[in-house]
Amino acid sequence: MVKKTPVTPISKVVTANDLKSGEVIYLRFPHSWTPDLTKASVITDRDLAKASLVFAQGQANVVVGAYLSDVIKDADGPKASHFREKFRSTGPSNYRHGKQEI
Amino acid sequence: MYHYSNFDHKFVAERVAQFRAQVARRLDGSLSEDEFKPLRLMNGLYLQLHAYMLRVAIPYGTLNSRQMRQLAMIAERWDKGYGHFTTRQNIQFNWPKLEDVPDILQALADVEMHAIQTSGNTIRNVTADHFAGAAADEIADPRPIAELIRQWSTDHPEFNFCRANSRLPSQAAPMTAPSLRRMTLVCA
Repeated sequence: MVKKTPVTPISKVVTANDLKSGEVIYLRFPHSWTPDLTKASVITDRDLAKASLVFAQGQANVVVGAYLSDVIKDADGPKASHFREKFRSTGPSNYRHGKQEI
Repeated sequence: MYHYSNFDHKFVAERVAQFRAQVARRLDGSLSEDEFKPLRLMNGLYLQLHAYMLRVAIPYGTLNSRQMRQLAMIAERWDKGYGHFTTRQNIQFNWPKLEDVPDILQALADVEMHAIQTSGNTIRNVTADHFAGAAADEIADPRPIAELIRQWSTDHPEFNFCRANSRLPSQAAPMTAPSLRRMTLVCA
């Protein structure tokens, strides 16, 4: 009997910067972008993650530098799991500007 | 204070028009980000963590009141009402939109300013003592020499692709060890 290799579960969002404003944005299925991480679509399937990234990178006239980012699923929506991504999702930390103004 | 010659006005105006066309080509998809990135950096425009950032050149940290007011107007009209002065005596606007940047550069050109060569591995500015012309122990006003260095180093091909970014400080009063150390910071 062939022993199956356990697959590590993933929890990711596609993120990038908006071409016109430079703002941090997240992919929301099927084809829109949101500046709010909690409204981003969480991807748990590896193939879907690859396909979503290809889609995002194909939107070169809309976004810049798309990539997959790890998130933690929460009742209020996804939360960043890395400091850098948390920082991107909230805006500068010195005082309330950027996303914190919204 | 140095004022633009006809050549300077023409040079900066041409760069504004050139960048306006480059931004239009980026927005309509004619240019990819990889193609556009070195072009925007040559005009002081970064894409940072949270937004675009435009760094404006203030050669040897000298501004007149008209220029200062224009910077304030730019901050109010196209940014969030403020900018950050840098250790190299330039100023950065941290929230401009890409499509507004050509208009910002035009507003700068209107008061003899620009953002050329404020990024990348090049000489980003010639700095001067902030007490230039006012320091009690001043030996000589550094600003005329600083202006000559600025003219010599602007778009100088030998300094467009340095291994690290640089500044060229000049000093009015007797030099201290830190300022001497900074004088050695030229690109290799």
